[in-house]
Amino acid sequence: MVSISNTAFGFWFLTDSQPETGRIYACTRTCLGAHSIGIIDFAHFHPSDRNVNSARSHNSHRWRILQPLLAVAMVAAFVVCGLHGLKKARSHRTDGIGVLNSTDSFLLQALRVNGGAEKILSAISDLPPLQPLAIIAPKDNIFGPILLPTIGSITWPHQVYLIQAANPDVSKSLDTLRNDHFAAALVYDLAPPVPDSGNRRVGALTIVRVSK
Amino acid sequence: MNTLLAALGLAVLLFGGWGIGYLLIPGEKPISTMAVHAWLLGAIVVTITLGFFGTILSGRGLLALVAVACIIPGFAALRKIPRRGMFAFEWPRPAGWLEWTLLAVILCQCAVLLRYAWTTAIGWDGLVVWEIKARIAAYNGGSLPVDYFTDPTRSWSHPDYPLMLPLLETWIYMWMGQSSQFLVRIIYPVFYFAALLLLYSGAAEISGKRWVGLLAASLLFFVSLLATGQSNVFTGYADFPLAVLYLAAVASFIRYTRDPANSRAVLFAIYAGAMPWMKREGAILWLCFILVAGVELIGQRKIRVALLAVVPGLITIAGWKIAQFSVRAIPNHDFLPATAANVAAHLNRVGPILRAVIVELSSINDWSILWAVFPIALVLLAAKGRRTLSLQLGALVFMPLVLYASVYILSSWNPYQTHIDCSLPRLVSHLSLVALLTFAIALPDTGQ
Repeated sequence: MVSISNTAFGFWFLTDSQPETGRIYACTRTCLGAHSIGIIDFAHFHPSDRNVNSARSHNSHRWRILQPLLAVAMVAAFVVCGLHGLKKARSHRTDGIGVLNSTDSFLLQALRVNGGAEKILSAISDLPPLQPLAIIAPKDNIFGPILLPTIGSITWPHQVYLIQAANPDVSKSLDTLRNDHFAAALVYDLAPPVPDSGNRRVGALTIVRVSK
Repeated sequence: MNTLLAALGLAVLLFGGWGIGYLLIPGEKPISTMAVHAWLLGAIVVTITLGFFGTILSGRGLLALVAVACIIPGFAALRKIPRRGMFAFEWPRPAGWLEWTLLAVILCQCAVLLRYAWTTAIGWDGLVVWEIKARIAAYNGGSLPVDYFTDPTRSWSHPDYPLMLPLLETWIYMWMGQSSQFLVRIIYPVFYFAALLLLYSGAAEISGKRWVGLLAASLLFFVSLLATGQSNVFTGYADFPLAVLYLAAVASFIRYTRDPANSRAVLFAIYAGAMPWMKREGAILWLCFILVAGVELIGQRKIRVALLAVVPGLITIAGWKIAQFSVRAIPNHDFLPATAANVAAHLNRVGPILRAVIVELSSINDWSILWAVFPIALVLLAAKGRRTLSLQLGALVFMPLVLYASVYILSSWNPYQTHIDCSLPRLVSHLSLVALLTFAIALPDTGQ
């Protein structure tokens, strides 16, 4: 391998008349005017490196022209295809700009109310924290399974259970929860239980206090 | 006020990270690499200190202790700096029309993404797997209560997942004195910025050309899954931060192979060791990285350095396992036990998994043409006379990819294809930054 340093200082020629093997100690140099003398850092000169013929230099010239074209083509393809993907942004967006709570943006879909997280937290703030909550949702409602982690992520230290009710009458479920020492039932999209002054509504969610 | 407090928390973290980075590599001058060290090392120190001391302290005491753990190395580094060299960072100044153009493109991209980040909600997993832990830890004075790990009604939040990202969010919450899903998003653009700087500095250094570094950084925007996809950097998932750590480890390792100082080995060992602390898949990345680095180091007869490189990762993996065991964390049930019988019974999944991987890698909507050009880049790199680097980068991408795909053989989801659909793009994203770096440094020399 031959490595050349300081090529900016002059012009160097490596010719076919170089020694057969081993180190090269000299080469023809053309140095014009005030150009300084360059330094060739000789390393091992492998015999296979000698076969520098015109065909190869022609190929290398062609490759030198093709290189930038290939680079530009690859980068251009990358950018064009990337722009195509960028147009299909799929992440969940918040509504508008401002101090936004991400839980709200998920609750908005299910409860159809803004600021749902804060309203739920406010509604359960006076409940005993060590007693669990239960979300009662219609059995085939797609929002039921979504409400469990959404509400569960903001209501620590309450444990949160999901009851998927087949029957629209939730009074039986409430009795069971009362006996099991639950703090409250969060009844979603079902016929509201018997009106009670203690119940609070957050959109489609009715928070029914069941703890005694 | 809350914004200021969150910024102060970040400043303390950055100061500590910068101090550790400077103490490790005092000669490091480029502002780009110093900034990356400041962020990543700061995040590692803060989260490990919070996680460890959170078991015995809470509230302001814990906050003060972690702050001191950041401030001490920061001031130690300040004392080590020669007076005249205090601000002698290297500020790279673009030269020529190409570099100026690329810089302008990157700045425009950042402006677009900051606007986008502002209106991107934390995604589903970001909220119910990662942010929930930060919220509960903040409620509990800075550490997760033991009850959380054993709460059967919150097993959906994967209590056994590592805590680097949640504790980073907790750090912000502790400074603010309350949780805020809006302000906590400040950390995700910082990870994007760290990725930009890593791509820039890595590609510029390896190629010897600054415009290649700028090009690499500008191309990140066009990998749409990372920038605007379903689990993009701003959605609070741990995947992009893990990809950044992986890139940092790889870039530091390449730097070490060019300038083999022991402190650089410490640096890549720390970044690699932090990966299992970010996400469970980090253990797979760590294993692959250690294999590649180990082969190189043993080849250079640097057995001690190779052993040293293994230590941080082993401590992280073993430490987290012991912690989980001691609190009896509810285990994850996403996978069947890895027995020969289970593997044999599900070998028929290999074909569909392979098909899914190919479909994902060829998704232009997610990756542009990144995965199509990656093998070409490896060949071009080898043709440039960098065969070893090409082999190493190829191994660092393909080995984890094969392991990632293989784990679906033992998926317990029914149907397991849903598991693949949900997680494969995110797993591939861990490798994408290293692939992007490879693409940039392999680009044919345009002679600029």
